[in-house]
Amino acid sequence: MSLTPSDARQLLTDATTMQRRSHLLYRYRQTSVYLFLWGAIWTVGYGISALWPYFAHPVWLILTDIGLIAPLILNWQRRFCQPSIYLTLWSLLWLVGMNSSYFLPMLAGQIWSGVEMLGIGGSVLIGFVYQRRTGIRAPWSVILTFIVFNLLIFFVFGALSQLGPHALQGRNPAMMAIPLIVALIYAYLGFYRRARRLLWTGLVMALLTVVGFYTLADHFNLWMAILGGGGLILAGFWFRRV
Amino acid sequence: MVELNEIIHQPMRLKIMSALNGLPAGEQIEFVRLVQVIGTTEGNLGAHINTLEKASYIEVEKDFVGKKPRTRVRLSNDGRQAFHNYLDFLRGILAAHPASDA
Repeated sequence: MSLTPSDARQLLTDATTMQRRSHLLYRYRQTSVYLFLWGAIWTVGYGISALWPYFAHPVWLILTDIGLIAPLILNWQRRFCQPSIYLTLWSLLWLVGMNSSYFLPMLAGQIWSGVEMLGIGGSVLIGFVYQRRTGIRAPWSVILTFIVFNLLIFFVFGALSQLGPHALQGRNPAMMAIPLIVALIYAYLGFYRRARRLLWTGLVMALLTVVGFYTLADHFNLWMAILGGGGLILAGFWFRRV
Repeated sequence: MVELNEIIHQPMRLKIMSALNGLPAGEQIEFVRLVQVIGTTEGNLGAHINTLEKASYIEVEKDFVGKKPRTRVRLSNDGRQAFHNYLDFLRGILAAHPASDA
């Protein structure tokens, strides 16, 4: 059987289109698990911050620990996706950073500086080792995304800690900063991977966060518990329906 | 010179192989989900899955979730290699006719 160049081009296009479609649907399904998990964490965390603010700090610590550990266990058991060495590295460093700075708040600055340096150095090192061992180019865009995301949080939190927790008329800007950055990362990933649902989820979550923070000073936590957490869970269902 | 792989060179089987190659290595996909991804009927997909399984290009795993039967499919290493060879064959045709490569 002979194929013309036109046939060959068409077959290559068809194959690439189907590969992209399958990959995108796989990513949506994978992301939905994170959305369910973090939607539940936001609902409980912000709910407790609204109703029992005295317990908010330790409860957030426990919830964040769960949010970091659960995907790692599921990933390494290959329950819903392949394990990512970069996600594992940053999650473990965050676990160490969050828990040690909770118990040693005076050393928080040094602890997080160390976390960032180890994370950046470790990610780059793993990338080079991966390239040398496999001969395949390391996923530098993924590595860079992790580094930028972490540096962004590091510097935003550094600036906020200088302002103090009650700089904005009794409102804690840190309660807005993290969900806003997470939402913008979703939007960035959605744009970068041409995943429209993820892009919209990120933009809507960012908008809800900012609107809630500036218009509902006293009820911001409740707003985030219901609309933020609930929105993430709904987005999870939306992703699974793709 | 790589030859045309007649097993993969069939529209539905090319779709199946492409869809499976779009997943990370070793990752499985449920049969019913593959039907949705490709946009075909279960009967049609089942026949082509059998052909690909006989050629050892894919691995089919059947089990039960509760009382419900579940079939999952993954691309084998041989299948991934054969698929890449097939794509190389197509690229070879384009490379041999650069004037028509618009």
